[in-house]
Amino acid sequence: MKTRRVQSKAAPVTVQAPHRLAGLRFYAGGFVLDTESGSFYRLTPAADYLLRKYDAGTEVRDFAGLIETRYDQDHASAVRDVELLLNQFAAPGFLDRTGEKEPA
Amino acid sequence: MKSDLRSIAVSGLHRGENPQPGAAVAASLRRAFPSLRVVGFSYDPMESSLYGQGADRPDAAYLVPFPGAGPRALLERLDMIRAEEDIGFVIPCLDSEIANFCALQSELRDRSIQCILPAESSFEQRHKSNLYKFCRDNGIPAPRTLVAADPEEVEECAKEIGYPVYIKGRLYHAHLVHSREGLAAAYEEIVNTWGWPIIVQENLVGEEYDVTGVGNGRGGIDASCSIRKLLRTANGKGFAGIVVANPELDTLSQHIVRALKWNGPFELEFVKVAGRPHALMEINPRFPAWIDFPSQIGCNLPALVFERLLKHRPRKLEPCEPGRMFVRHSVDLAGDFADFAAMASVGRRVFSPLPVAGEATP
Repeated sequence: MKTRRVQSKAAPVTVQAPHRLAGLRFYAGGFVLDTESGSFYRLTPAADYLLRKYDAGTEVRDFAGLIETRYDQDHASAVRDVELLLNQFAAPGFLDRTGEKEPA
Repeated sequence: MKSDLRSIAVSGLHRGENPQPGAAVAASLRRAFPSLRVVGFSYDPMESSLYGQGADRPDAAYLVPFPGAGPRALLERLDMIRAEEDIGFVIPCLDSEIANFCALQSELRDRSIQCILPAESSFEQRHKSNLYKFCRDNGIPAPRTLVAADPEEVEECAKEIGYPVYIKGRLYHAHLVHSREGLAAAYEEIVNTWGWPIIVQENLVGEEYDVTGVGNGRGGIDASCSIRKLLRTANGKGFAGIVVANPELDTLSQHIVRALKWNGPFELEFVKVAGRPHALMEINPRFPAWIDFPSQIGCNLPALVFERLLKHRPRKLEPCEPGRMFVRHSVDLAGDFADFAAMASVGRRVFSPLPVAGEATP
């Protein structure tokens, strides 16, 4: 897990960068290995991109914006695509959707 | 150290369609102890390790009586072999022979032969016919299992559990039976080879996980490796696997070994049905056929056993890295019928002659 030091006028504070998906490993070609179950999946480029972002700490509510920017999509299409991807992530247990906010 | 030069005997030398662990154990031992002399206890002149040229081939091999002949027959043959080989250690690799070695522990000690074996109570508790009770007594998830002593009981047990159901021999063989009509053919084949009783077991459908390791006899595990089977043969044997790091599986494995106070090599076989905990299917009292895979990635369990046999402090083994995987590969080994005839008639083949007295020892 990576850490970074936050400089402030007070004593420096070390904060942990989020790493939500500790049991997942990402490989080339969109492959993801669940190291606990030994199951592996091949994701679409968009799914791979979002899952890596989520692992790095991006919130689900920001997914639509990322898709809009990366793929030059309109907002409605991005929201729809994100919802479909979130459903796919839920089946293998990649995300805990309890309490997740709906994408904006 | 003189004891380091004594030979180690390993059994289970066939690496065919239903591979036995012995060759993998030999290969693992040689990774850590290149000059170790390995003597093969063979049951058939056609065992594939007898025709290899690699690190898994024994330095010498001797035919031994089938386990069904009993411990006395094994001991007699062992004494014949000892006239030619200075065997100081044994790692038995077949389920069917463990009981004989357990019965000979005193005689092995008298002959200064070291062998790590489970306690009799541990060995009996994990037996297929007793395993379900052991699991229930210790809160270990397991498929529903009944034991049948005759054909009528087999039918009653299968009806009680519900089809499809597994019909298993007390040591080897298993058939998945889908209806009452298929029962007789399934258990008759098994009974003809292994006798009664027959194990009737609930069929669980899910991912298969295996955990191999070495128990220290005091309830702990010296080291282990956990895999999920990636490929299976038509008869369910693992042909590829991937290392997993699963805390629930680790905790359950530790609980099982602690409950048994297991001593020595083991393999735990689990099935994970979605939404249910890992269910313990079998406990094998020896290393699995894939044991050389963790040896190749820094977790040499046969070497750890040998170090215990030497009374050395075992090396600390690092956990196997999740994501490392193996795929089994079959090769054709060239031989000559003269080799088969020699083994079948004389019961002995020497691949690496012993040094003559006066020559430098390795």
